[in-house]
Amino acid sequence: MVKVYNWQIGREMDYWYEESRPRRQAAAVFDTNKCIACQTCTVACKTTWTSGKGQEYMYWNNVETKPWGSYPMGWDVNILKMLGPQRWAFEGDRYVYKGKTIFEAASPSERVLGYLPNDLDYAYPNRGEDETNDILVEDKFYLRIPHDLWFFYLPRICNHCTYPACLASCPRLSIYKRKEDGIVLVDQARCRGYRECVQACPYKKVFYNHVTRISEKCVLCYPAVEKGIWPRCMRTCIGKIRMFGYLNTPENADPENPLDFLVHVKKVGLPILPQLGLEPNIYYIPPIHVGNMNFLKMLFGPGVDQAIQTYNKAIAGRDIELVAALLLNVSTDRIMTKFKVIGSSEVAGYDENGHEVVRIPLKEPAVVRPFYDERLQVYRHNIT
Amino acid sequence: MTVGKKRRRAILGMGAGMARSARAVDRVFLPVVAGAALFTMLAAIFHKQIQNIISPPKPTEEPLEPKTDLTAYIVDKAPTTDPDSPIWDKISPKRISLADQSIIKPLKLKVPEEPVKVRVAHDGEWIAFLLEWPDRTVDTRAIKVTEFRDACAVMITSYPAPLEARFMGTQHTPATILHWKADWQIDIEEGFQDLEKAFPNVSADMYPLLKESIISGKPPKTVDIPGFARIGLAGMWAGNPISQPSKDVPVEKIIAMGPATITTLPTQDAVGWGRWRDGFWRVVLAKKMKASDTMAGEVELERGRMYSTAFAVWFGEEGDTGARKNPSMLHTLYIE
Repeated sequence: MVKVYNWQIGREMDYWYEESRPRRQAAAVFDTNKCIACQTCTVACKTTWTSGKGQEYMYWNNVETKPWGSYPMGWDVNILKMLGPQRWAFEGDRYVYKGKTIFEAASPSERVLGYLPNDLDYAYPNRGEDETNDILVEDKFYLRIPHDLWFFYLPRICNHCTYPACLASCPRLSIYKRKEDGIVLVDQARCRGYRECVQACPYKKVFYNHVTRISEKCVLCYPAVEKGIWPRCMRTCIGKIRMFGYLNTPENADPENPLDFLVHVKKVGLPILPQLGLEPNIYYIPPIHVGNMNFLKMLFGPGVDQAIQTYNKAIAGRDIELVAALLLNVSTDRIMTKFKVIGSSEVAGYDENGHEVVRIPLKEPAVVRPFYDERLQVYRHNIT
Repeated sequence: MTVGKKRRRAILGMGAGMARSARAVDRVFLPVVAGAALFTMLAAIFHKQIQNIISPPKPTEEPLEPKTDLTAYIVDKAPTTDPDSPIWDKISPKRISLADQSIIKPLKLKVPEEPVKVRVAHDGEWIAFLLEWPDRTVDTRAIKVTEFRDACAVMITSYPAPLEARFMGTQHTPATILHWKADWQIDIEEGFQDLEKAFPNVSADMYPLLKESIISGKPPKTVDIPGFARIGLAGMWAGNPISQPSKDVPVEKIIAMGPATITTLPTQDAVGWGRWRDGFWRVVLAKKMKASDTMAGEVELERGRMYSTAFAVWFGEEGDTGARKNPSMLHTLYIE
């Protein structure tokens, strides 16, 4: 084990290999407040990548209902229970994780702390769907903010971690992280189906193919990404919850980069289970109506309070730039590396060559038609 | 008389005084002598050891004959695929202890109580190894996530080999490995163990490119999936030997130059067969003595020469796979 720096936990930690960050890291921000669990992302991925024989149970992209939903069953509570106490402390200008990561908590005979799910754990991908955190009783149905009764949807894909546990666990060296974009892949010609990666990935996003008898995982639609196009699950998102691009480290954050802006500048995008120590690269805007802040802090780390405050300020119209960045979600299928607010009414996104790939209004124009159309001599109803 | 008494007393007194002095000297002198002797002895030992390190003793002109752990006996025809051949009864087995795997993580620290019994025979063209070890359960499937196969392997490399060659060779000492997999054998014996074997009630409504192949809601047999549709089976499409549904032999011939380097050799001409009976696996693994892939580093075996060899067993029920195994130490193999 060597020491590497993980900015998400604010400290150095043990990892199997030396720090080797990609030239640029593909990343995404998912706004949980906008997800409606329509599963369009799930189906887009399923039909693209996991519709072969032996992949029936696989969902490289899934959407689960928190707090009860999980796929495979109990993936989060199982690893958190194994990990033990997870304490954060505020030191200087940042939060520092004081517990152990899954690399530090591994037994002396293992590379990573983990467990192997069984086939029944994968059998209920929609378990807990739309279930609230508590039993529904009549006197709780009053609208209160934050809600006494709550749930939210959590779309999940491989996090293409900076310190992948799957990569660290593979004694065969079949898993690699691409230098050009940080995408983590399983070499399908090299893997021999040991399933160390399935055991090690705490997010359980590496899967064993029943027919080919080797491991497979999300490829982040790298053939599209290589052409500057968003992955399928992202560009088909009808709730427009996703922003895809490249993320810099905090010290190199570019405020004009939409990903850096959301994660490093405004700090509304938070990593999922950062205490595990993998530095995951899918970020989440936490749900603003969840009453149990401890649950959110467990899931997204200690930055939840600030993220929710900042997000609330934006939706109250007091942070136009953040509104602009959020409006760029799924506004184009081209990867944007810059964005700019034009005047105070539009936002534009630019690709890595500086070409404008999208321009959208900050406020959708509303057209009110007259009730009676003189020209056509018909009555109209405004229905949208 | 009085004078005599006084004198005697004086002499006795003097004697007692001398004795007291002598005891005092003894208390100091004897430990010093003993300590000096001990120091001299230890110094001599250390001196010899240091001398050995600085200038090690030169080897004798004629090297000692290497100790033969295993002999490959000459037979008329080596039983390359028959673990129950009567030829094996004529060869007394060598008991080879299996150790833990405590070098490469993940480790396997559990050690089997019983050793593996090894017999080796050759006929000048083929060399065959019979491995026999107790295993309470038969694990011949690796379909579900938690299913792991029983397996065993023979590793052969040159002699002499460095100690670290025990772990699948080194960069300068490539190791040829014969790897028998229980699930591969069942794939040959009973046909490819498809999805339905682990999930009998599986149903399918659509696989892209295979719409016509789904009959009565059942998926098509994997072996029948046409080439163009195998793009949906990435491992198979990539040519991974683990992922091929059609197999000819249950033994894979591999070359390795240390941990994490095993590579399937281009010419797959190793053979073998296993049989589980009454709580024991008996598995034959055989290869041609003349190497087919010399360019890739495959070991060429010649009569009258010594080689280094090691063995490994994987117990499926214990979740063994890859580095989670019980390997033996490095042994010498003489080919008669």
